[in-house]
Amino acid sequence: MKAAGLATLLCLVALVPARAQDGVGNEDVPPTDLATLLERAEARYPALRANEAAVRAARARLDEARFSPFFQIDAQGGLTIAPRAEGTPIFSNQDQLPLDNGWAPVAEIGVRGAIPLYTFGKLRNAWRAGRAGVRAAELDAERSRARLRYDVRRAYFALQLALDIRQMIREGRGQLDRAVRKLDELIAEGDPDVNPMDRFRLRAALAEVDARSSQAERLEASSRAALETLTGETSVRIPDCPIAPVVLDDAALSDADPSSRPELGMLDALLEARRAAVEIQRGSYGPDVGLGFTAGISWGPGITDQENPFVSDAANRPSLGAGLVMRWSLDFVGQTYRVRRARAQLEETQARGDEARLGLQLEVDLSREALRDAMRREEAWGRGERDTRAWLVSAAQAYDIGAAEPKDLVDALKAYFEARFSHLQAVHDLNVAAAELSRVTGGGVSPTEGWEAPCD
Amino acid sequence: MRRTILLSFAFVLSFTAFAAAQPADAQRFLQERNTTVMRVMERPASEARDAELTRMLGELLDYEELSRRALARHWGEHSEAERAEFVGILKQLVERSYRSNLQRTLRYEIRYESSEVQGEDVLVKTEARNRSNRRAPAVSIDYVVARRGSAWRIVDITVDDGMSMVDNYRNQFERILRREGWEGLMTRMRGRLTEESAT
Repeated sequence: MKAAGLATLLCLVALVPARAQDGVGNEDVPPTDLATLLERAEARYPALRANEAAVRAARARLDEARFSPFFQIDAQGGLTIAPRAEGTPIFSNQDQLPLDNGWAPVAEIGVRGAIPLYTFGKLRNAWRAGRAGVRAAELDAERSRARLRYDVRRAYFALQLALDIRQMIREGRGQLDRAVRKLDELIAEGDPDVNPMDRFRLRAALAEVDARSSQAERLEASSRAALETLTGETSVRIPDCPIAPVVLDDAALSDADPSSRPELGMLDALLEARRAAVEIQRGSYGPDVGLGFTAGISWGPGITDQENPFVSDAANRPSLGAGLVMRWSLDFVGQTYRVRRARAQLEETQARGDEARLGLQLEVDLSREALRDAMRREEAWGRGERDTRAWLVSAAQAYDIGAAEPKDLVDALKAYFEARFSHLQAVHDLNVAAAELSRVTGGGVSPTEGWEAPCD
Repeated sequence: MRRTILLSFAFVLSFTAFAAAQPADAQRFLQERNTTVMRVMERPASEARDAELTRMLGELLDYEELSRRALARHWGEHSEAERAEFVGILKQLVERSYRSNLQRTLRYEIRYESSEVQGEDVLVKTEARNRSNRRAPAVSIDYVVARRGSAWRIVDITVDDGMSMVDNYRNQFERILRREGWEGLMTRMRGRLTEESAT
């Protein structure tokens, strides 16, 4: 049941604003709501791409730890020239270094390697540390995403606030200008009902409006720039809807804790990596046992091939072998200190984790109290705005029939705009505090009706 | 017995239909007036148009009833002539104030929320929202509408659940009457009539 209305005019005397300007950015750009801006930010923000690359790097490190130990195979080869030499192990009529014999090529090629069979837990714990690294990288990406979502929401609410304040100022500035002009006329006419001090009162209010206008202009520019930076948009225009307080479930607010915070998972991953490091160092007391193998051949056509297997002939030698091998560092004293260092680092990480948990819980507590404060202020200023608006309507009605003085109207007008400004600020603070609480609880607290009220 | 039940049922039905018709009629009255005035406002400005608007505004409010309710016990303390002068000045002041804001109210879209019987009157609740500026706060406006013969008239208005127009006028008049008496009140109203509204 909608209709353009006249009957309204009977009550809108003091509430009808001057012609509003768009104030929402480039009119050629379609408006983009908060949800869409969040999607675009998550798709484009460079820090998230960096996190994705870090996750890929961590996965590659894990795969390297899994497969690389089984491919520790070296190949070697060489080609040179050497003096010709002839004879047998029993007789040769040539010198040991027959440089005058002329020279011929000598070539060698071979491979050798080892496949680990048992490492006393070193390999298993290296994989464990690699998995922890992947988990930490993934959670770091989630942390960055949560931070980005918070930043976008904060910038969006700030832009809404700036546009609302600028609209309010356009509305109030016109009314105050008209009131000042009227007062000047009445004073010039010598109206006995007009107190010249009312004029100063109005001019002081005008100065305050101008100062707040400047603040709102800066807030609009900075929040718009922040949104454009975060979302990669060249020109952001948001829906022409007033900022509205988000709705939160009080029980969820009371139960808020940081248990879903990515940072906690990152701490757990770091602890896991530290425990793995301790196990690796403890495993280093024991040897690495594996299957070793080697194969090679050298060929020197200028040197007589000695076919006796008991004769070492470096220039013409085939070789082939495989068997159990072992590598063992016997630096037990040094290893003791390496184990101690790894354990100390684990304890340090545990203690720092406990400290971080306390900090995260403190963040939740502070955010919750900031939110509750903002909710109380929003409720109080909401009442204040309604009351001062009723006051303004009453003052305007009374003034129009000669039952009130200009001072009454000026006081009501000033009180209304102060209350409305404070209410808008409180709504903004509430929404930002909710966004912050959502971030510090890892999404554990979210508005029941979404982050943006539907606006028809 | 069966006939008695049927009659009772018919009575209840007719009463319900009557009670339901009143709020709907009052709301229709407001909507029709809105539409008519909007049509007039769309015409080019002229003296004829202004005269028609003034006539329509005069038919929208029951100024005598408004005056009677606002003056309360003081209404009966004055002569017919004094009351008539009071109603005439109040009508001119209220009309002038609203006429000066008429153009701007065209930007508002009215949503009729509900209408219900309130004593002998009908309370019609509406919400006005600025069409050209969605950031401007919505204003809730409640009209108390009363039947005067075959026509409906507005007898009171409340904005944003604040003080009603009648209560506001009554408080102001009472305060001035106590301090300055009837003549003081009339002097103030006459004085306001001779100057332009500051709002």
